[in-house]
Amino acid sequence: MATYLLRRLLWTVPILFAATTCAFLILRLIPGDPVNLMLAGRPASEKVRDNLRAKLGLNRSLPEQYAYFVVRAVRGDFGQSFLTGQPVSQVIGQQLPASLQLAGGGIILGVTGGLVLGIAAGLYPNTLIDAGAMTAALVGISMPGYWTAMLLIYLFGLRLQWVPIVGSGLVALILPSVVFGSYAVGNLARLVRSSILDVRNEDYIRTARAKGLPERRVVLRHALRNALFPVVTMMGLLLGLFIGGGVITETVFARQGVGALLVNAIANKDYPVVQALILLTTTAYVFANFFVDIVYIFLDPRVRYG
Amino acid sequence: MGNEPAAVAAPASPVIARPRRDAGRGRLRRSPAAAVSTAVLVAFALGAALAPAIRPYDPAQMNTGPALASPGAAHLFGTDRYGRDVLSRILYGARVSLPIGLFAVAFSSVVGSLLGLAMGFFGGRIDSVGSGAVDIMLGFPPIMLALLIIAVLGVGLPNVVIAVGVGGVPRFARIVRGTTLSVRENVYIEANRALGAGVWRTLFRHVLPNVLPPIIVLATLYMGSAILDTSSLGFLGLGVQPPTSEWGTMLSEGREFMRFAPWLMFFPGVMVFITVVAINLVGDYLRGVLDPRLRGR
Repeated sequence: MATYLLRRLLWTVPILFAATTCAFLILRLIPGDPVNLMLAGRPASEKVRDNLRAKLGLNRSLPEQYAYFVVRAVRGDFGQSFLTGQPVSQVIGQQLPASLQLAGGGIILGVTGGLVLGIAAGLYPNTLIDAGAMTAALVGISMPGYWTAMLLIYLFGLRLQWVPIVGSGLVALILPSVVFGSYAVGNLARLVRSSILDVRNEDYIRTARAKGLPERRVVLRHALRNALFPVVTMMGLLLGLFIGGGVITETVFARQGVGALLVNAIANKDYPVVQALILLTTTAYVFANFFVDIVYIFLDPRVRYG
Repeated sequence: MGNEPAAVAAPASPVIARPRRDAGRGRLRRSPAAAVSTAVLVAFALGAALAPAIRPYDPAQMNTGPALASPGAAHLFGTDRYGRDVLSRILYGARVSLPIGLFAVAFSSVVGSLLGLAMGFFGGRIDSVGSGAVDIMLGFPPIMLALLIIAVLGVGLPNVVIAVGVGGVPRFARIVRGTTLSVRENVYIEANRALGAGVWRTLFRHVLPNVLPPIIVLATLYMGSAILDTSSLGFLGLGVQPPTSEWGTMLSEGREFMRFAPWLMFFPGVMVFITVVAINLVGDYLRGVLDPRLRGR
């Protein structure tokens, strides 16, 4: 098990290396001079430009620049935002709590919804309940997230006025969490259903039935254990996607957060922020997947030999 | 964005059986959902193709009626803030939104499948390097990959296709590799090689047709998320740029007038939704037909 974990941990290295390289190259690949972007159209003498270039490290050789970038990145130093001049780590730090709240709310709602629909469909396959749950799942998968958001805002925010459409706090978190979580509900419901159905004919299920356990208990106690795999995977995915999922949700709800920050940074060519967010997202995603693998080991003893 | 088709990521069955033609047709009749979906998609495609002939107004023409007119006889879907006819813009939007999805999936499936074929068929170093690259690409959150590409290439139509297409490449590569590995071991492949057929002939005449079913299923299911993703990029202002009418861009414009003209955000959204539902239903149906493992469920 230790070797497995070690091997798994080592595998994160090339991915993080690739992410670092992408983040590094992005400032070098874009057309135009980064110094011009930094000046944002303000006139500047050649001397000022040279200073800026030195500050960005652009006057050194490429390998040197790369080493410099990595060393600084490890220390959490991503330079200053082209837009505001604030340190990038500070800019991101301000947005992070809002995004984590959203991810938390989304995970709770998404996993609950997906489990309920999936178990209902798996308990009563090929019935009306199954059909209803799977239709709901199909709708969840096929709705554009931003459109779900707009419809919810229109219905609950503007028409019924049950919830505020802007602002912070728990009530304002409800609709964004629904949107963020709806991404998971459909997929999860389908996966939970099929993993329950998959093990229907396994020996251990037959044993449980032979013991005389009622069908409901067989499914909930024994078959559901198998269904925990997609749940864990989806939780890891959502945790890792808190920036990606936030991109849409935060933009529509005009919330603060790293997703909105990323879109804004790309639109305004604020590359130091983009660089830092690439690294942050990828690292979060990679480690979320890593923890998912660890949880697998505890869920299924057989994985230990994998 | 980000309706990552998790169900798609499940490895396709390595057992490939070419479905009997008549069997498929009979099933389609027995699957009303798939039949209706196909009809809807054909209708949308026709609407897009015939848009110049059937549109009530020029989609770019301002003041075809009062601005923000609600849906009525003169304007079935109402008008936007410039008095442009929403129905006409949706028809023209289909000419952008549908092809982008198609092109993006074409990009992912062609590049991904060629990679997967090469990895599975040749094995060795090609396989180990390729698999490593695939794993690294899968290590990136899909939306991040898309946004990254947009950040480097800039906004615009072709870049959106690439941005959304690249995210699908590792998914196709992985599944095609797996299927190729098992197809390669078949006796008819060995016999074919023994008869002196060249590598390329074997690969494209004999291996490729046998790995096509999972490619078709994945391509269909991925098209749904590709259309969602492109419209999301349009919505974020990072995709197709106005004044071109594209469903995502129209939705983002409509958002500002939600309070006074909710139809502006309603109709384009319905179009995206129906399109993706129909594609997903066809994809589910195809998976049922082409993937014997799932038959009878």
